[in-house]
Order: sequence, then C-alpha cells, then structure tokens
Amino acid sequence: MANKASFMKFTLVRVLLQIDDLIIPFLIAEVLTWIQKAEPEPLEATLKMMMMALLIPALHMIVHTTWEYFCFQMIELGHRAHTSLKVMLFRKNFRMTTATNKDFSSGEISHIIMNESNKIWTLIWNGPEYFECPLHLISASYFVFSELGWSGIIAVVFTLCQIYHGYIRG
Amino acid sequence: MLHINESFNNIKSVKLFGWENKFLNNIGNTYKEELAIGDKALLRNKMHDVIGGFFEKFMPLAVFSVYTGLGNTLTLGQMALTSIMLDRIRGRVQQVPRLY
Repeated sequence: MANKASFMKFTLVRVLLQIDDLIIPFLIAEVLTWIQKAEPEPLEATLKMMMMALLIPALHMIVHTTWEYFCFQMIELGHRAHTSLKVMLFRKNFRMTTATNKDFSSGEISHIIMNESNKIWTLIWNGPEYFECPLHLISASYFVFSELGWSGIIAVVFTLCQIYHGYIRG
Repeated sequence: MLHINESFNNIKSVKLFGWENKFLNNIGNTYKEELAIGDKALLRNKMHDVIGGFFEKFMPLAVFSVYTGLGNTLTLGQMALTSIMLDRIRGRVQQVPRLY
C-alpha cells in the first residue's frame, strides 16, 4: 500500500512538473509582449503583469526544490527495489541445488543477480522518459504550429530528419 | 593455467621455426588495418556531427525565415515562445533513438 501511494505521489509530481514546463514559456512570451507595449495602461494591468513576471522565477524555484526532493526519493526507491531484487534472487539461488536446477549454472544466476538486476535503475530513471519524450515533442510541435501556422511544418521536417539521422548514426 | 601453457608452447613453436619476422609483419599489418578502421570511424563520426549540427542549428533559422518570408511579422513574444519550444524539440530528439 505504501509503495502504491509513493508511486501515485511520484506520478502526480512528474505530471505537475510537465505541466509547469508548458506554462513557463507562455508566461515568458506574455511578459515580453507586455514589455514591448508603448501605450499607457491602468495600474491594475501593470501590477498583474508584474505579478506574472515574478511568477516565472517563483515557479522555477518551486520546480527546482520539488524536483531535487523527488530525485532523492527516486534514488531511495531505486536502491530499495535493487536491493530487494538481489535479495530475492540470492535466496532463490541458495535454495537451488544441482538436482533441482539443470538448466542454469550458478555462475549464470550470479551474473543475473550482479548485472541484470541493475536494469531496475533504467526503469527508475528512463521509465518516465518513455512518456515524457513524445509528450514534449507533440506539445512543442503543436505550440510551434499554433504560433507560426503552417511555417511550423519546417520544424516537423527538421525534427523527423534529426530522428532519422539519430537512427542512422546509431 | 591451460591457456598460459598453450601460449608458451606456441611461442616456442614460432621461435623453433624462425617465424618471428613473418609474425611481426602479420601483427603490423593487422595493426595498420585497425588504424585504418579507426580513421574511417572517426571520419564517419565527424560527418555525422556536421549533419546533426546542421539540423540542430539551422532549424530555428529555417522556421523563422519561412515565417517572415511568407510576409508575416515576428513579434518578440512569438520568437521567444517558439525558440523555447524548438529548443525543447531539439533536446528531446536526442533521446528518441536511445529510448525507442
């Protein structure tokens, strides 16, 4: 139950951080457009824009602090998962004898324990990236399109070329 | 121990038949081949660096050029927002071949 709760908390924080990544560029664009305005405006509008401008560093600070805290939690979770997996495999290995196990040598099992179990770290660090990467690519392309119209197709072409080139390069 | 014994026996055979120079030539040729492959790999990597760098650096330039070339006016806000988004695309594109 505690693991499920911490997983939900972690997912929620990652989602909120992604939303924040999408909000900050719009705040920057709004503030830049406001700075360029030459015509007079009411004091409330100025204060609102000032607040918006100050929100950018405030959001950065909140995101940074939250992220650092959750990085620590991710590392803690990774170590726990890693150690638990190794313990389980070692226990299984100790129980096995040559009579019960004819398919694998003890060296092979030790290799799985000491090397393959490290793959759990890939899940901890890269797992969220599997979802975040397409999300960012699609959302960023959409915003480029919404700002520049069909000229954004150039960005999509360049992106596809870069992806293709990345696969060729290997 | 078995492998060490085998190595020493092979060295003895080479010396017995006077094959040192032949073997040295063979090793030298193989080393030259290895160096040539290394040079080719280096050249390939540099070429890919140039192509990758071209796509990376020229993407914003191409996008903004086409946009303004079509007769649109680019505001600072638009430019900032689009640059941030293009930068995000550039960053994530690097991850795609590694992830999928």
